[in-house]
Amino acid sequence: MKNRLKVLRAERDWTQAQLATELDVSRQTVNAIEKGKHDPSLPLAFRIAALFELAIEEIFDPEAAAG
Amino acid sequence: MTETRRRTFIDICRGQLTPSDQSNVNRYTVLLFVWMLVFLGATFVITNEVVRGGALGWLVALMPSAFGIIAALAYMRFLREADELVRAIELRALALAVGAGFAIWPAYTLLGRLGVPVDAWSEVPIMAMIGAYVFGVLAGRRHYA
Repeated sequence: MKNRLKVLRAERDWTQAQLATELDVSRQTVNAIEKGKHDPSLPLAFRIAALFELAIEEIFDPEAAAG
Repeated sequence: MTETRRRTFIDICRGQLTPSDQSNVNRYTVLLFVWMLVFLGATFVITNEVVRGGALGWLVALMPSAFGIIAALAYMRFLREADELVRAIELRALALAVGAGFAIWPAYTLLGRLGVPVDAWSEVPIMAMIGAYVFGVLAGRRHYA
């Protein structure tokens, strides 16, 4: 699933490690989600949306395959 | 170049765990070590006939199982509380290990019935499962690195 996580993170000038700490996940998880290798669970998707103050569908696009 | 590769491989082996996951991993690693020591101790005591049957013999023989259950519970706690990607990697590795067990155990049993001295390789199925688990974890960490 394609997502805008990397862009949103870059806009805030956060590292993957900082974002991982905010979300209480490993840096590897953030990296895997950004690369589209791992689709987050629903609770984590909600935490990401809440952190960036966006709706889930504004971050994740289920129609587009990850490139 | 070589140094970079080595560092990357070490990073893959080490994984990237959250402090909470690392704490849980440390807990079950220590418990596994204790289980191994208890198993070795019990094996020594029984092999050298320090105890011979009776209630004490049963206690010594069952003690490694009790510690094994405690270690398994600690691993289950780690899985339950783990970062979701770490959990996914662990579950796939466990599935691979169980698959390796299913693949090897029938051959092992049937070869024994054909007269092949498989008793000499009694550790093969469990070693294959452990090997498959370790391979699964490392392959998963490398894939998501």
